[in-house]
Amino acid sequence: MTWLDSDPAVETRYRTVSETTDLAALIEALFDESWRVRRLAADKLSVATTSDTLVQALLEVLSRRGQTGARNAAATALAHLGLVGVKPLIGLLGHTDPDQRKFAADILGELGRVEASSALIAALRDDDPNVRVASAEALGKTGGPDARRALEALLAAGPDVLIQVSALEALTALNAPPPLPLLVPLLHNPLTRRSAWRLIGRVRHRSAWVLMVRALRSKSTRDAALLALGGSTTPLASDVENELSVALSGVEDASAWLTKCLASEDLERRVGALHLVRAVRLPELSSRVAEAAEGGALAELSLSVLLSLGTPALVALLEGPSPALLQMSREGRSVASEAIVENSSPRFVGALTALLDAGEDELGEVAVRALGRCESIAAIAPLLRALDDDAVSAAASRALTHLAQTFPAEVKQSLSAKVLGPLRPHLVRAWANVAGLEALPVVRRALHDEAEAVRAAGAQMAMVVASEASTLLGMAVVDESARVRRGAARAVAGLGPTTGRPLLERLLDDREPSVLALAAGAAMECGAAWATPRLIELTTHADSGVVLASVQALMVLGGADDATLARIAAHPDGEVVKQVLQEGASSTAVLAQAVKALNDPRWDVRGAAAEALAVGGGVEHLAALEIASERETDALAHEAISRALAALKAR
Amino acid sequence: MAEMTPEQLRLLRDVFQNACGFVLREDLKFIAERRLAPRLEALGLRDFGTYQRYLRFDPRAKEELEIAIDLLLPRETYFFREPAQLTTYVDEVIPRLAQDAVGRSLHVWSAGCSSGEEPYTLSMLMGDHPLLQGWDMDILGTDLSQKALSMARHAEYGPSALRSTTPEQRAKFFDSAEQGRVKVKREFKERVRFGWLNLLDGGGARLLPSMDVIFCRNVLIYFDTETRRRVVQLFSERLREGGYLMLGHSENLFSLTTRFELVQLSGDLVYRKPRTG
Ligand SMILES: C[S@@+](CC[C@H](N)C(=O)[O-])C[C@H]1O[C@@H](n2cnc3c(N)ncnc32)[C@H](O)[C@@H]1O
Repeated sequence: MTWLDSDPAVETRYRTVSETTDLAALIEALFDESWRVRRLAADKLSVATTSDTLVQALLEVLSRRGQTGARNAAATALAHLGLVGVKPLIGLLGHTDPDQRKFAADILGELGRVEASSALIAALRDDDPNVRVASAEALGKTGGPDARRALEALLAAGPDVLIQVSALEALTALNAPPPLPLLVPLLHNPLTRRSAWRLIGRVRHRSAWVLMVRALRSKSTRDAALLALGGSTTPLASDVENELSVALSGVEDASAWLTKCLASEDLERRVGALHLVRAVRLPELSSRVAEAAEGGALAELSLSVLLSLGTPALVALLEGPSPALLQMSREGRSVASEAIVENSSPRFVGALTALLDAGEDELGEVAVRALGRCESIAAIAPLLRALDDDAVSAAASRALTHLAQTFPAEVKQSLSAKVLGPLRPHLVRAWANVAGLEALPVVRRALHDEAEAVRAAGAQMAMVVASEASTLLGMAVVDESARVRRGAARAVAGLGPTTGRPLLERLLDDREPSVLALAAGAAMECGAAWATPRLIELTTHADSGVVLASVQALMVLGGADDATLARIAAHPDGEVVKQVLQEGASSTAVLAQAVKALNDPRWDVRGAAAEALAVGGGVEHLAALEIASERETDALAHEAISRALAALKAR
Repeated sequence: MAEMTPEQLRLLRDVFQNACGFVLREDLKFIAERRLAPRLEALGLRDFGTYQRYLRFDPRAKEELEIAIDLLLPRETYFFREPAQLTTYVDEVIPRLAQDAVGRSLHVWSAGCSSGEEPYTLSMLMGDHPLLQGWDMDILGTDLSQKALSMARHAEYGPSALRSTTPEQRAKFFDSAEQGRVKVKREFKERVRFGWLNLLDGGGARLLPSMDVIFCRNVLIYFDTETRRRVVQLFSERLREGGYLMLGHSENLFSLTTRFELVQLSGDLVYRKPRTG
């Protein structure tokens, strides 16, 4: 029975360690019985100012046999020290205790400095096999031409299989395949062949392909040989694909074998199988190809292979009494759906209609999108039905609009019957898009509808009848429902800054923040310069969404002076600050705020500040950026700061 | 199709992490772009930066966040998942529970139950258990996803939910439905209740009864350490003393601070809330 952490005593010790900077206390804490306390101490030691005393103290901890926890923690700290750690650890490679020597090799590998390579090469001749293996693995991380040569020599060395495997893995890590004659013998040993095939895959020469093609033909070697294809998700060259295809054409159970490999837990094997399926073109494997995306990591490759298999592969996903698409994982479905929507064709209509009727919202939407792109008149009827289904009506409205590009008269005619009946929001949208000017009576009716969603749709579509839009929107602007007023605010920019002014003025005074935000957006869109005073007022609104929209508009329309910009750039909401930083770098007031924002607690704000300084700043900002760069712990923000430093230094 | 920049990915990750603990990893970017693309289209938004702002500022942000979470969170599940652990539960945990239960009643919680396969599996195993005949069993399944819950209540499943179900189990626990689908038999469906609960919402969880067992499998893996810690803390509050916590086979409580004892049974290791005194 084990008690897991969190007794109060541990918490107290954890807190003490987190507050101290005393080296002796931190070293002491490496011996703590709690894993968390040891880990914290190691982390703190690895960022402490390094000194010989510190290194010596850590090495001393490393030498305590029996203190596994403390030794591991000291190793972690040493592995983060950088170059200063290299020399003392090289010294440790000469220790009398093989256990110490192995530790030294491991940590030198973690440090990954090429300066350690020659010492590690010497350690390849250590008496102790564990030290030799650890040194070979470490060379895979420290690298350099000598390391390569030494590792290659190990391959030829003969009966020590363990060291050969380590050398192969190290060469793979260095992406440095050895000469083929060294590799070939290792392809036959069951213990070395996985690693050896992986390296074969890195050899960019036909001779390597020939070996692989040969191995793929045989049952006993193909599983291992597949790994040669699993190292990269970049598509293979077409001549290689041709050869692979020829190689597999003679293999009887290729399809069953690939099916198994596509479902493997081993991602490298799955990648290899995906490449092969593309080469051999087996459309009947399409559902397995899509399913190789399960978990998400291989989705991109899986989609590209699926697309390469062409229409028959997609038909195989959709057709049959219980279509494969219905049985798939979510990632598999996403990949399959994208392929189907992108390559929709008249052939799919029947299957897509059945899919729509299967009653699963997500796949229903896929069916609707694909029907919209299938370029077939037969798609109109199912899409009209889909307009009545709340789960897919929005997609159906867009799909009909899309289909009307190919069959304008047919789509219009089918909808014209439907708009005589009760109106629904997406019906109004589709009709307005398809019927244009002729939609006026329906849009007008929509604006008087009992349901606010229908009135809102009517408002949003008012612009299709430009000549009447002012009157139509006038009704919407005074509607008691905020939803309808939002519909009006979305459309009003279409009237332009002058004709739209009376309506827009009213909307910019609305009591609903959501309406105000959209109205500010409309002012920006139509270039309503007259609105700047009101927009400046709105930057003090309590709702951040309103402030953000107003700031966006002001940045585009101009008209905010430096004092205003400086005030906005100090807004408590990070999104608002970023907006000013991203668009106001030409103002000195904003740049002054950017320097302050380098200290902001939010990483994205710090990043935006650095980017503003990169384009607007000068040498006078270098010092602030240098300090920020040293302190920055976030990778993305750090990148932005480094870019800014480089830009300003180049100036 | 819009691409997610590294910054947009990070900002969206923050949004989801705060809302439900889910960590949108970098290698999921491509698939996340695909899963969310229909949302950008439906809302008429041009890129993921605008979408991220929509999720914060739009009046319909809350609703949209639920939709996005529903689209992104893995919901993979099936009946009789991880059979070895279930055997341990049946052979070793249930007898211990039966021994020290108060009255003849048990409360079991499947936290993150997805479309219901897990709580129904428990209902089947327990309903069938010789030691529990005539007992009052309350099995509660909760999840964040409303879609998953509505599938759970419907209790009808296709072939992929049965990938780990034997023909005998299939005959015993399910009725046939149309098109090769199956429906959970009434007696096993009846004692399972469902509820909509975000595991990050401690207040909501405190309304639940005190539990004898909590199953939370393949849920914590998607969370960051801090969230795991919070959720495990909540489990420890909701369990009675001596109650069990069953995690997925690749999950453990190492480095999470809550007090649980690790009990070595012959088939598996399980966590138990220790008794005080
Ligand atoms: C992969 S499924 C696991 C289902 C089942 N427990 C099993 O092991 O088969 C994970 C489930 O956890 C749910 N989930 C994730 N985060 C959650 C949260 N914060 N609160 C409640 N449920 C959550 C998801 O909606 C999903 O249905």
